[in-house]
Amino acid sequence: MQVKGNYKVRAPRQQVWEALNRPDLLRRCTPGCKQLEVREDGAFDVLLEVGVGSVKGRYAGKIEITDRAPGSRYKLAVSGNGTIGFLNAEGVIELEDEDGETRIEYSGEAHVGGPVAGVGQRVMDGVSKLLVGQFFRCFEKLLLDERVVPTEPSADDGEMP
Amino acid sequence: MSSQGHFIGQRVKRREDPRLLRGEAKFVDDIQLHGMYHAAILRSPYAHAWIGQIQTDAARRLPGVVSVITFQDIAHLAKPIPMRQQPISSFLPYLQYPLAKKKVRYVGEPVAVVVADSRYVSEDALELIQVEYEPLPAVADMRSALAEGAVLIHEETLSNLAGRGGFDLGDVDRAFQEPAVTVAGRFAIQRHTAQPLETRGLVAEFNRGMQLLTVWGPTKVPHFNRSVLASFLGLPEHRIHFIEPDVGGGFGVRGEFYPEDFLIPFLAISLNRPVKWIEDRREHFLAANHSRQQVWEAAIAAEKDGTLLGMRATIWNDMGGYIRTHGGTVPSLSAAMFPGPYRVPNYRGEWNAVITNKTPIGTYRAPGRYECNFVRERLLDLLSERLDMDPTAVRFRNLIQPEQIPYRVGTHVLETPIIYDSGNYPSLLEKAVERSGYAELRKAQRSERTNEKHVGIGVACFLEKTGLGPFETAKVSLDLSGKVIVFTGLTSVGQGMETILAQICADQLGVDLEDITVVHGDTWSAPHGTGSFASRGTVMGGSAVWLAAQKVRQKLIALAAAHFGCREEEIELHRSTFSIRNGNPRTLTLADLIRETADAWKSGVSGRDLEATQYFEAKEMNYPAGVQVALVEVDVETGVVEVKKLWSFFDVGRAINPLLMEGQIIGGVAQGLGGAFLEELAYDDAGQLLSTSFMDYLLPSSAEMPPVEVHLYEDTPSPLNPLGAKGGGEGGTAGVGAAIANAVADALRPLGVSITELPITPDRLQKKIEQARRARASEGKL
Repeated sequence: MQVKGNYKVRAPRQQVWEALNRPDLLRRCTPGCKQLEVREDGAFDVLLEVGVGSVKGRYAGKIEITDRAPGSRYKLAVSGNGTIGFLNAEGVIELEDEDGETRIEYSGEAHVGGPVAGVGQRVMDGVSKLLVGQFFRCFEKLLLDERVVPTEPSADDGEMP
Repeated sequence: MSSQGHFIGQRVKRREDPRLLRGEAKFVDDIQLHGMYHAAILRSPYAHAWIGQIQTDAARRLPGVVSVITFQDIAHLAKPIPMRQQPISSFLPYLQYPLAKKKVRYVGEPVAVVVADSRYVSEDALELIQVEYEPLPAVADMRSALAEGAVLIHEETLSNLAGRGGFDLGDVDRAFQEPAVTVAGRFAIQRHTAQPLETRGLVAEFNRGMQLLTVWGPTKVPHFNRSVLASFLGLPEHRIHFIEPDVGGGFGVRGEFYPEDFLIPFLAISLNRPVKWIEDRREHFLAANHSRQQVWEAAIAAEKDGTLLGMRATIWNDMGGYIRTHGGTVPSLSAAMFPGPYRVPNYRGEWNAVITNKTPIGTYRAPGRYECNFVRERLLDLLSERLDMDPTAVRFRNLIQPEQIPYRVGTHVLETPIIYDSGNYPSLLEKAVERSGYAELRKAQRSERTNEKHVGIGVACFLEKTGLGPFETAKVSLDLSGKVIVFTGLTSVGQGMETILAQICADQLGVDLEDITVVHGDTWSAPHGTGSFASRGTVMGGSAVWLAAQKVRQKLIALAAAHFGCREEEIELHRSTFSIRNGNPRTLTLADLIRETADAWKSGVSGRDLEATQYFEAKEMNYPAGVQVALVEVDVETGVVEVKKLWSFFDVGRAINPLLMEGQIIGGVAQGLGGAFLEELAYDDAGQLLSTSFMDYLLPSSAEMPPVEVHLYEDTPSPLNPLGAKGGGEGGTAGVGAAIANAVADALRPLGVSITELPITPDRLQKKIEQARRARASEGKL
């Protein structure tokens, strides 16, 4: 499954870049993220709870950020295994200035398997767009908000509305 | 047997139905045993992957969990599950072990089993098992499986082509050298399978003191499965007792020896406690046999008048990740039955069994015939179109004539040569043409075609193969009150077998139906048996009952003659009462005769010895003939096809119970329509099954059922059994894909749309219509 799109954040590029590397922000805004811990190698161990249609489950996995070009670009790899199957995704995030704001371009590919593939694949495209949208809206809000502090996990549990 | 019996030939209602309708049937999940544990199976989420470490500690620690097993726990007993039918030696390296060993080869392959004190806990524990998978590229279709340099699914083999076979009769190449006409095409039939209302299930209990294993739930072929299980477990067969509870549908899929058929009894023995496993629906989609998926390249050569000169076909059958118990049944049946009811002087049919990373396939109602009938009947319609002949005219020209029967096709399958035993195919087609009002349908079609209505008529002629041997058993036994128990080697998978066997026995013994109990699927009461598949129940099991009851009847007549002091020929037995011909008024009830003679032993004979066992064997199958006619209307804007009506004509030799036969046909038609329009086990490129619920896998419901008109004929009884019967289990399904595809193609002929693939879904059809329109438009511009 291809995931591709962009999102415009009303903040300067350097600020967006820094925020995109902050574990607390990633944890709060990744839909369904219950836990995110920084590993020794710089990758994150994550626990995600997401649901697609009638299939809900928990994934234990890893998020890895590589090929960092500070201020402009990194590669993101997510892998997870869980009760409803497995998830592997790889993508590139790029930042561009646009009228003093920042346009985030993202593109990548995701593979799912197991129960979630059998039941949810048809709606997966829609779900992934929704989840990405949730992430960026949350991200922007927190970024613009002075109260950006790590708190309890987001109330948003990553489930389809 | 000539005259209509009191029960044989009557529309007797199914004696199974009251308990089913009242909710009083007892299925395997209704079995509750003291101290019973519940198993759940961890299945691979990957289509193709190496298995590394499997961490089961966390699962074992969950309160309520009793045991977690992986391959290494069964390694000392594990071996590949053998082929039951159409075994092919080249398939041997592709057989499946009960649990994945080193590698998984399809999504759904069993990797571990959890046993706990409740199903809830065992399901929860599945989530705590950590399996390290090292994913491999998935081979999700036959093309990539056979491509040069393809990843080997069974790495120790040389190819993903597990085997091939076929027939070469006459001189096919010559037949195709400059014939007047040839038509050829590439055809595809999608992967789909049976969805019985009741999913599979097993309960196993081991009595350690008696060294006795009892298993509830095996059906279809319990005697074969018992042998396999005995060889796996090292138990003697007589210490394994299979009991068949009520069964909610089989259709070929249920009851084969699957991995679970070893795992659950194994766990019951090793834990020394009863263990239950009930398949859930998603599991059924992944774990039970799939079927049908084939690609054909086929052609026919004919004279200008439509006379067939030759047929040739190459078939690729997507077998999935392993070869299961059916061996080469599906592909070889497809090739063996392809000539159908026609004279085909030269025929070459080759099949290829291709391994892919998908659920293994097996048989599903009318295996091989649903597929080959579709291809052959489409080709015949293409031929008639080319020759500008009516489709029925091409068929009439080529049908085997009654005087040519018995007709040896030259092909063979399931260890039997294909020899059509009896039939009058032209007469059946004549009746079909007449009763369906074919001429009027054509007339109406011509007049209505002008007003944007796209009506189509499709005809399919086909033969079924039924009554497969090698044998079936029956034991008929009377109790002291003159009531009867019939023990059969058959199983009851929803076909009404308890009713049919009772009818046959009642007529032979002169007793009422209510006086008969039929015991089936029990490996202790019928020590040998073959089982219920291949439309063989009535033919094989029914004949065995007929002959066993005849033996008992002879014993009864001898006892009664001795009692009356008359000759045996003078005795009549009707409604459990003996009387004497020639106006002698003396009568005696069956119960009285038995009471009188029970303890009056004479040379080892008494009223207690009123039982007989009979084997009925068959070296050949028999072949009922069918014609299906479909009337459809296609909405060319949406691609939706409405089936206005479907006629099913079937010469069954002799219908023991026409009501049940019609029910079988209508049910079979429904499944055939599912295959024609709705059902598809779709996979993505990574070998993930995408249709694992009834949201995505569409079954025909009553709302999708068109009016079905069934015409049963008993024109040509089979000479191969004492009842003259032929099987009716699959004839409803076998020709539906063919008739529907022909009807849809007929409707769209003016647009230049041909049908070469099933299922015919609205989106695909609409796309075809659109393409054809665009092609026409661009032609017009040139």
